[in-house]
Amino acid sequence: MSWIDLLPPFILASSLIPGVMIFLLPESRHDLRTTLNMASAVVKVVAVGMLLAVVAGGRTPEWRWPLVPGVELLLQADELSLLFVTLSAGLWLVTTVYAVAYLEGSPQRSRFFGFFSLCVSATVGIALAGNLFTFLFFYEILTITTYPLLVHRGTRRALAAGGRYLAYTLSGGALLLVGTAWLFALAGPVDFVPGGGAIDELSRTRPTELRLIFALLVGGLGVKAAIVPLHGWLPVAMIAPAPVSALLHAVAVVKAGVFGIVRVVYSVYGVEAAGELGVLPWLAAFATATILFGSLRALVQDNLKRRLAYSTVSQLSYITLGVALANPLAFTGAIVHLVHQGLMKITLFFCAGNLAETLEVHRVSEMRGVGRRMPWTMGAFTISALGMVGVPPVAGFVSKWYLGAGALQAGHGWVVAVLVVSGLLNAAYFLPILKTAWIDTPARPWPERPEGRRLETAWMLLFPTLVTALLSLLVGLLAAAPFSPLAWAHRIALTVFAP
Amino acid sequence: MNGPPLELPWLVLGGTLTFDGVALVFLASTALAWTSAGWAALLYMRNDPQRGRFMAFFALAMASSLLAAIAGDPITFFLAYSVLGLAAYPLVAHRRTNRAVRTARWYLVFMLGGEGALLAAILLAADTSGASTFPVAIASVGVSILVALGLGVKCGVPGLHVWMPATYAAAPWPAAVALAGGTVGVGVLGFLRFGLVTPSSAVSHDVWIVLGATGAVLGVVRGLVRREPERILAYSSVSQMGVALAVLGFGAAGGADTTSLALAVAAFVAHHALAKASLFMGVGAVRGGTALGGRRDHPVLIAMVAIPALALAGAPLTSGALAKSAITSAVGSPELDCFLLVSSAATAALMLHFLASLVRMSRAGDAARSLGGSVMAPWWLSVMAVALGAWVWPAFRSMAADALRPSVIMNGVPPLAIGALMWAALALGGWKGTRRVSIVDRTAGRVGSGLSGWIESRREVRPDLSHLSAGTRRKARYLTARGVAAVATLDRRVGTWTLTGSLLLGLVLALRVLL
Repeated sequence: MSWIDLLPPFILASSLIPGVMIFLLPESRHDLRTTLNMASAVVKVVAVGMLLAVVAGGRTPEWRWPLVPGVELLLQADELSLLFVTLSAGLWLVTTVYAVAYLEGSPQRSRFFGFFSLCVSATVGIALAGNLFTFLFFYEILTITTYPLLVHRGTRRALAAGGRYLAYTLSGGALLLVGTAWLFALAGPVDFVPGGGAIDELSRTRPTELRLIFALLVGGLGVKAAIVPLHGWLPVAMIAPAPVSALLHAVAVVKAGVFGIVRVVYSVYGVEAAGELGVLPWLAAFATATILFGSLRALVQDNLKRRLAYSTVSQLSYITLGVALANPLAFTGAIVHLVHQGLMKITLFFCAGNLAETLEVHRVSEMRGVGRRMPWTMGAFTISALGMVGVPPVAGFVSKWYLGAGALQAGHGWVVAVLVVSGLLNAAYFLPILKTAWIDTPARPWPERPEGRRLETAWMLLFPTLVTALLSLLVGLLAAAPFSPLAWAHRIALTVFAP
Repeated sequence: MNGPPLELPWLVLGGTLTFDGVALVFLASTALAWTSAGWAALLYMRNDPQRGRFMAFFALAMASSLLAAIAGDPITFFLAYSVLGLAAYPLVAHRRTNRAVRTARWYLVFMLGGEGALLAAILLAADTSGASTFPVAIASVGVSILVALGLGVKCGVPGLHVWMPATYAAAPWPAAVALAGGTVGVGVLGFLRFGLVTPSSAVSHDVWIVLGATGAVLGVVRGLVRREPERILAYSSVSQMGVALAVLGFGAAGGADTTSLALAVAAFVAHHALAKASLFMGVGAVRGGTALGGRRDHPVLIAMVAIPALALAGAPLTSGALAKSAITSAVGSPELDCFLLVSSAATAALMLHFLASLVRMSRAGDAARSLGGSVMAPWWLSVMAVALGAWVWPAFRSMAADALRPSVIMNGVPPLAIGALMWAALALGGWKGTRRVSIVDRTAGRVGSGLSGWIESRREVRPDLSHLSAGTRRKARYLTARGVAAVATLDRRVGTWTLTGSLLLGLVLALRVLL
């Protein structure tokens, strides 16, 4: 075992250990806590950078730890996990900056940041999981560690939302557990292999059982991936503080579900087996229904975060749809949307948080003329919203293009119609927000900036927002450059589709 | 002078910029139109508190419009096209009156619909032909229709033109100058780039001829019954773009050489862009209260409007004559000559109607709003661009020589004369927009509304739904409301316990199978 095999557990520990330490800090040690947070986030980003270099060099670090005989924790870094790890580490860094500013002066910050770190550790664990068991292990940890973040404010509504979240995700987790156990009973420990193939033999001899297992696994994962009708917890969960919502909608929880679906289809079943079993059209149908349903619901929401939440429901299923199309181009689009949607959606939630924190604006109807009071925030919002609609050169267009091109290549022309209709629906619920913010005149004058403040809001709230907005523009504008997420997604597609 | 294509491999999905003859013509004319519009905007909006925002979006729209001119592949073109469509929205809505915002919304609805169609078309075209750069050969009828829908909204193909008149009337006039001069032609450029109208194209060239001729006639007829100069000009754009489309169709029918036809059409569109920009500039200046020697209808001012108007009508020695003779020699079909004769005459009549309404506006007291800044300098620039631009452009030298032959000059006179007679007949029939209605007026009005009444509502902002019965409309509203409610109900019904209950049921069943 060389040092590079220790990188995955190190990356996991780089937020786990500080997380535990933060719990032990008294509430008053604000500076130490912030330093610890920031330092661990930076260390993680650096370590991920090293891991990226190692994997780009063609090596696959892995670290095994036998738990019970026959069942081991396996952390391994292939191209696909690296994509997700990089996204989590990067967005965790910006969200930490944001959260420190957002929660300034509020109670129970040690608890918050402790769980915050654990939550990210779990996400990284999910990303680096090398087999289904490890995946399940971290998936459940994620469920538990997110709950305290959701109900952080402790209000009755927050607790109700938290209860709903637990009811959904725990039952989803139970399905996933049964599915995993069943597959284990049939096939033994199944490691994630690019392109799958471990159960090819079984898919011929026992297709019905594998179909049921697929349904159990995807049903369990679909709760977090917010596939209709399993999405009910997500719009309610927008009650959480803005940085939690941002992380939850961009990387942590919902992405864990979608990433799991990618893993199940491509690293466990494999395209061929999944195609033979005939499960993918069902997945595509559910994804399509979700895309349209989420957009339709988003149209009528006045609460800004709720509208964004339904938009997440819709956008996540772009990824699921791309996965279900089982085609290199569509797969590339799905994988790259994992990153693109994360960047755009985290920006949108940061903006929503900025509006709420600075001006107490929570509803779209209250946003009249807010663009003049907070031009930078609304500028970032505009970029990301246009990206969601799919206007080039923002990131969303690139994903959409690949999804459409892949669908056509696979002979599913109807997907193009779905993409266009969904784009128009996106426009129908995002552009009115922009119009309200930029064109309408304010109902009453906005509160003035405090004396001595030159920016429209605290710089630690504004800076992360601008960074992610700029990134969502750049990853789209420079998508064809060699180090873009798209280039990396291409690489993953090659490993998956070219045996 | 044509340069090699410039590869931008890092841009979005790998972009190409092309610098062929057509691209350069579009680039130069668009840049000239935007320059004069921008100059005018700087002067005119000097005291506007929202000037910074206006100019920012103006610059964004200008950049995308220039990019569209030199885009060398469908994706770069789409990038430019969609940013242009969106960036123009704040320009149209700039005045923030209810009317401006409502008009801008409908403008955007049309643009987004067009962009959706164009995106689907580009995806389908890329899948079937695999070509990643222009020219794209579109083989299927369906894709052709999608492309035509996507591009048609921009250049006002009949039926998709309904946003145009209201938009030009609602936008601050420098924005109207830019839109009319800098963006309308992008649609036709797209028709050229996507190879929609070629001898081998999927859709019969007759379709394009009919569509173009309909636009040409519709624009003139509808324009003749308007009184607002901006709306008359907008309908003139519909008409001129119809002519361009019909010319493409005639060219395809006659098997004309693609390169020279494309250059001739580019010359036509460029000439139209400069002339239309200058005309809108004139309207804006006159409406804004520009006066010479205390007179707002000073002969010099009227002459400055008359020059581009004559050019549009194809009068001899104008850029219009150059474009027309270029088209004639590139296509060389007698049907086209006949068509051009009619359309020039009609345009001449429309332009006289326009000039008359402009003079009337300049004399009316209520239009004399005092607005900041004299815009004489950019106005002169735009008039000079119309008068000289086409003649000094190196690639047009042979066309220019052609247009200066005495026989061609002589041929340019009859359409003008016919147009003048047409207008005189209308004017003598009491056509000044007064209540006195002549037979000609009534007839033309009927033909006009017969042609377009069912797709345009009174305000010319959105498609007219009034010809649907009240019952149908009520039913449509009811069904929409029901649909929204049903989606909401579904969302509510999937409650926590129903859902987790069913999940657990599934779990139990699975366990039963398993154990």
